[in-house]
Amino acid sequence: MVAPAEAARVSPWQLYVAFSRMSLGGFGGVFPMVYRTLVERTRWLNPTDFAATWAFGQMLPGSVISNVATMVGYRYAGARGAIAAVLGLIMWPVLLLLAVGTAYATVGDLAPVRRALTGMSAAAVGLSMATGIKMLRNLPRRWMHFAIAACVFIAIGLLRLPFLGVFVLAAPVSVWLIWRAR
Amino acid sequence: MDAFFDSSLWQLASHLGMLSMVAIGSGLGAVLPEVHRFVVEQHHWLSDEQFVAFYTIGQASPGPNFLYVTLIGRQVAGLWGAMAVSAAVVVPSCLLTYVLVRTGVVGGDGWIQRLLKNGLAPVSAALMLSSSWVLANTVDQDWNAALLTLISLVLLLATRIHPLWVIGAGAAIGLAGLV
Repeated sequence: MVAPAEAARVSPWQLYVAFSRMSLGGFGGVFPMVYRTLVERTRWLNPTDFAATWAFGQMLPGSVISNVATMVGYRYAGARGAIAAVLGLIMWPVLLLLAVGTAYATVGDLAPVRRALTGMSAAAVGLSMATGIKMLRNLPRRWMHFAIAACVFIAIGLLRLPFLGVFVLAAPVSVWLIWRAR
Repeated sequence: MDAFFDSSLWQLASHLGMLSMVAIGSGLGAVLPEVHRFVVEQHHWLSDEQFVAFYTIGQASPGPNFLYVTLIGRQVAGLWGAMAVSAAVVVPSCLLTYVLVRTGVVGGDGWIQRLLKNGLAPVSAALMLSSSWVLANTVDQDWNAALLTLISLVLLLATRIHPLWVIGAGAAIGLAGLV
């Protein structure tokens, strides 16, 4: 196994290219591509480092993958590396979406396009639900965790209470309850 | 300067930027109910149909899924809107991550990190489920669409099928006029 510290001498350009490839290869979620690239292909991270980096990316605010790009970029090439990795991650998808957005504005009202999008949307909702259920399945099997999840779901999903208010209240209460119930 | 702060571009970019900073655990997928409330119900910048279409296109396109907001930005304020919104959801959280890594706050597996991770996990899961519930209410207006959602959900949970196949199949079924 190549230890990341020894393998290090990755240029910002290499980071930019690697993250561009991950991003463009990641249809319907970039996680599998990120793992394959960072751990198996470039070996910039070993599996343990990857798990830790991913966990931090999840814990910090913002999107997981852009946090991971920031951390990996910084680790190998400092501030310039972080900028290169994040830029690689979002530049091409944003340009692509601009083109798709223009196409949608032109043909989005046509009946076949609308029908296809309706079918795609119905399937995409299933994808979003599956992600939520997987997150739920990964919780520890304790009633407290599920009770908290149920309260937040009722408040935001069903009652549509203001998001920020619920979050600011629920986040510390959840951390405190789970800490106490250890 | 007041005109700038009143502009829809600034309001959208600042609101989404702020939301990206409270989206912990699952990114901007989890704050979707609030994004929907803000752009569809409060400001009427998008119709329900456009919102769902943008979300779906974002899911089906390569790249991070949170970039569905790029399409919202484009709709609300054109090219600059798309750029500003994309930057707004990425730059603040990346800067914070950078500062925390740089100063060594993040990087170990200390008790604070574990405490936060465990403590926020149920909230993140509930936010994700709330997002899909809000989407389902908009999309699944009839039994056929609801059935398609259910089939897609079961397939994705029970098999290791790639999500893109499921969304592609949805497009084909829609095109055939079955939903």
